[in-house]
Amino acid sequence: MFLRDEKKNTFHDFVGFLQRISERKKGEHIDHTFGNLKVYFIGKNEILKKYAVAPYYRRIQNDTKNGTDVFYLLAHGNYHVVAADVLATLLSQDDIAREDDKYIGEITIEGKKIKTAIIRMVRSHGFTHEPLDALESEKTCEIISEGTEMPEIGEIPSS
Amino acid sequence: MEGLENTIVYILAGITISIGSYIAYKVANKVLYPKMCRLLLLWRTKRILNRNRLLAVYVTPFDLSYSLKRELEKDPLDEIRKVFKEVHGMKSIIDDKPVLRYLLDVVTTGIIVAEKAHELKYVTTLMEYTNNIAGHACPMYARLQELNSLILTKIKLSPEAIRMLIVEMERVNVLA
Repeated sequence: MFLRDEKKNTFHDFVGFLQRISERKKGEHIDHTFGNLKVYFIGKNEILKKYAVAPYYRRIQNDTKNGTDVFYLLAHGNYHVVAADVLATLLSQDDIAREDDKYIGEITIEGKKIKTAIIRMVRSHGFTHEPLDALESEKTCEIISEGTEMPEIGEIPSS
Repeated sequence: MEGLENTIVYILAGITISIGSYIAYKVANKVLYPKMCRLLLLWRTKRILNRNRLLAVYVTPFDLSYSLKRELEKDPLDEIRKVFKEVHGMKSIIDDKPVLRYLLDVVTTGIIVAEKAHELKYVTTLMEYTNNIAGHACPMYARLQELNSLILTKIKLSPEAIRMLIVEMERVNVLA
């Protein structure tokens, strides 16, 4: 979808983007945006325990309103996978985005089987929600960015 | 009959270019003989090679009969040579220039997608052989049973990233 509109080397740029995601360190902030595609890591225990998926929902709602067409929800571990699945369902029910591809299963990483969710979602055409006000959006982003350390790819969450 | 088959394959190949190779290829897999599918697969492979920039090789429609499977288990390379020689005017790439060695030299990342385990085994065997004779460090990073995919990449990607890469490539139909 998004690659078609990009330049010739977009494929390699996209691989580079995925490489940065793959190699990110624990707690490291990386740009999770590639064009109109975003990647969300559902991995912060504190946020999920305190707010459930609401901050993620709000951030995605806002980002979607501001131009994100495609996004992925990534999660490791049973608890986070369920959260990602619930979040995807909520976004679908509220007609913000629809599930386009979904993988929930075990992936073997360094000999360990880890429950993983990789959900691709596409913005709904009928999505007409107004963007959140700036203050609320900033708070939401702040909550997410200051959350507890998210598990690395390949790391089994403690929960 | 041989000539007729080749003609049909080339016509189909032309259609393939026009309407999107993956869809046409899927259709071809349903309506054509396995042999012709193999020819078309090889034609497609050649075409991708000629582009000098491989994005992906789909092995999905590659029809391996039971007897062929047994041959592959015995000596995969013989069968590979035989299949390549079936293509009109095409020398055995395996003999002259190992296909995967070529791919590894020019390609940053490629993906081989197969639906069945024996197809993966076929590709794996080919890669291992190529690796041995070429003395080239095979950059194959991951074999994901869940995805039935092999990744040819010089860049280390996590399984999630590989999944995303495959999905996005499927969405844009990069082979079209």
